[in-house]
Amino acid sequence: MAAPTTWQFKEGVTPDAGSFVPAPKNSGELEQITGRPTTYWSDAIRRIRRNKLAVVGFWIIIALFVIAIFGPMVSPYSYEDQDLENTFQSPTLQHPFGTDQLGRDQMTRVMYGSRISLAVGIVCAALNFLIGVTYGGISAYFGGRVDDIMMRIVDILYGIPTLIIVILLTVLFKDKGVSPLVNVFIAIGLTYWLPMARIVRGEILSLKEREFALAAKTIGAPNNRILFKHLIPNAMGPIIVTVTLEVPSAIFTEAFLSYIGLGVSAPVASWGVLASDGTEAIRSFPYLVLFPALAICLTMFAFNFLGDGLRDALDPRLRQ
Amino acid sequence: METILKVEHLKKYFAINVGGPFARHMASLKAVDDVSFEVGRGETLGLVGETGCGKTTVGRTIVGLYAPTAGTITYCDENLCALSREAMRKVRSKLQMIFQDPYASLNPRMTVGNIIEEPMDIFNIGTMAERRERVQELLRTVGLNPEHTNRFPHEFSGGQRQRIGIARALAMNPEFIVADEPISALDVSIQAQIVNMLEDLQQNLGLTYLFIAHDLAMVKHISDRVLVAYLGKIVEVDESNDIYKHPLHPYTKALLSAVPIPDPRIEMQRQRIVLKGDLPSPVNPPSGCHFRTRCPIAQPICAEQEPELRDMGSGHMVSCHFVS
Repeated sequence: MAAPTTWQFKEGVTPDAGSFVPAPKNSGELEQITGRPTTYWSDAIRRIRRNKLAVVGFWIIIALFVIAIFGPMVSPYSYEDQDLENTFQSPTLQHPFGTDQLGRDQMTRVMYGSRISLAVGIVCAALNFLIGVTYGGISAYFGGRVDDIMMRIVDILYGIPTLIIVILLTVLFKDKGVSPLVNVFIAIGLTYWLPMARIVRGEILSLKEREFALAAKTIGAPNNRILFKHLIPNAMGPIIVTVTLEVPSAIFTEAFLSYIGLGVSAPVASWGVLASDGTEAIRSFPYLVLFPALAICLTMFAFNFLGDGLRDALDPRLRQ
Repeated sequence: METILKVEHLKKYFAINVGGPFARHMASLKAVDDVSFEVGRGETLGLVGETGCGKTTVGRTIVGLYAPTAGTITYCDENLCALSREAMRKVRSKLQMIFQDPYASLNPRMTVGNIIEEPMDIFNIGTMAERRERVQELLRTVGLNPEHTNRFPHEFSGGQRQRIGIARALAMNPEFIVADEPISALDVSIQAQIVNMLEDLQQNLGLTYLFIAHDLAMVKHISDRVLVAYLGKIVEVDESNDIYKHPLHPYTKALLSAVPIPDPRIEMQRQRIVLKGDLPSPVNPPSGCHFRTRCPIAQPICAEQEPELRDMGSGHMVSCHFVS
């Protein structure tokens, strides 16, 4: 058995009962907090940095934005300039992605297509915030009859496939001078805020029973203040996750609609249009479909990885 | 003593669905069932009872979180139930609440400074600088470091958070504070600090408390008078010293017999009254006297007739047929 540890006073210190003074009873400040404050967001950023895929996804999205904004500006070609002497060229230094059936530079067209895709993504995110969050928040906060009616409307809209809405809109706006891109925006606007409304409603339903919401009421806060200042900021985690997972699906919908000819049309280049044109010549010139398809894939992966990473970082309870 | 708050025949029923997910069959949960009491200015009224007896509902109805099903709440000669929303919002600043769970009652996304400042912000009181000044003053009042305004609630301990909650309640210079089990979520050592602070604040600021708790010893310490509630009803009211010495209602007797005595010799000889059975459901309370199903002295009359709250002299009120 080891010898019991003996405690000794430091050298030069003589034990003296008088040196022990009881702490004052009412010293006011009872505990000291030291250390840098960590907020919810700095914590989340720290967690997401550890997730390599999410970081890669984040940088791909940033790169995508840079290319979409500056790419077509610095490119020596325009997305619609035809060069009928140089059709169907294989990738070369002059045309890194080759040229299409009308001799247009495929790389410029893919870069231009990313503008449309990101525009769709931004519209989707904005509508999610403006309509989805507000709608879901109001529905849950007021509850009862209001909630019943508002959620039944969501259920009905949920039941209509996006495709049918777009086809109806295309028929409706045909020959009325509405650009097909606006059609796509309206279709996405009508359908893509629905999941957000449901998620926010669920969050607010549980948050509004928490004591801090009751406390806000007792200090006389009006309803809109409680909803927008107390409840929605506390639901921000799931909201951001939903947006990052909704945006790629909206981008994909646009590509899909353009692919089947319901979205934007020539000469405007969207990834869906490019892929559609490319498939026609897939046997002889497969690279024409390869690059737009790659762009779509990369974007989908980037957003989904970032979304998954954000979900883990912002809502650790969901982590398996 | 001037009466500051008068509650008359207050009822609060919650509608609940008892028919399952498909058949809608509503029943009412009688959380508070015909409760009347008065609170004098500067007094501390304790409200005790076991879990589910409607203590919290009474407190929340008084501060306007719930609309009463029936009855009136009169605060300084104003009937709170008849006020418009806007007028109610203004009166509310004089009626504040301290919450039970200091971890849930502070918005985790707001700094302590913003939390305490919010009531002043809502009612547009003072300039930014004045408000900031007031926040610092309030933090000092509740014994926290005024430099901590930019910190978030999760950086504080339970006791400190409860102090922040108290500072928020004090921001509008309230007269009446409903303290809904303000200490039950805290460590025993912290409980004493908070209770002492509440007493100091009461003396310095002339506050009136409705102190809701289930810790009988603490209620005795802080309260001037005590209400004992059982299943949505008040069974006994008395001065706190008196009620602990001479409880009259069988429920109060049983409650008090459960308080441990810190002397092992007396503790061993102590006779405990153990109540049989569980608290009946407030959806379907017993007929007549609500307590009769667990009462050791129940008689047939208890099932037929509901006992009234009778004055047994010098403000000692009891609702039992067999107390005289």
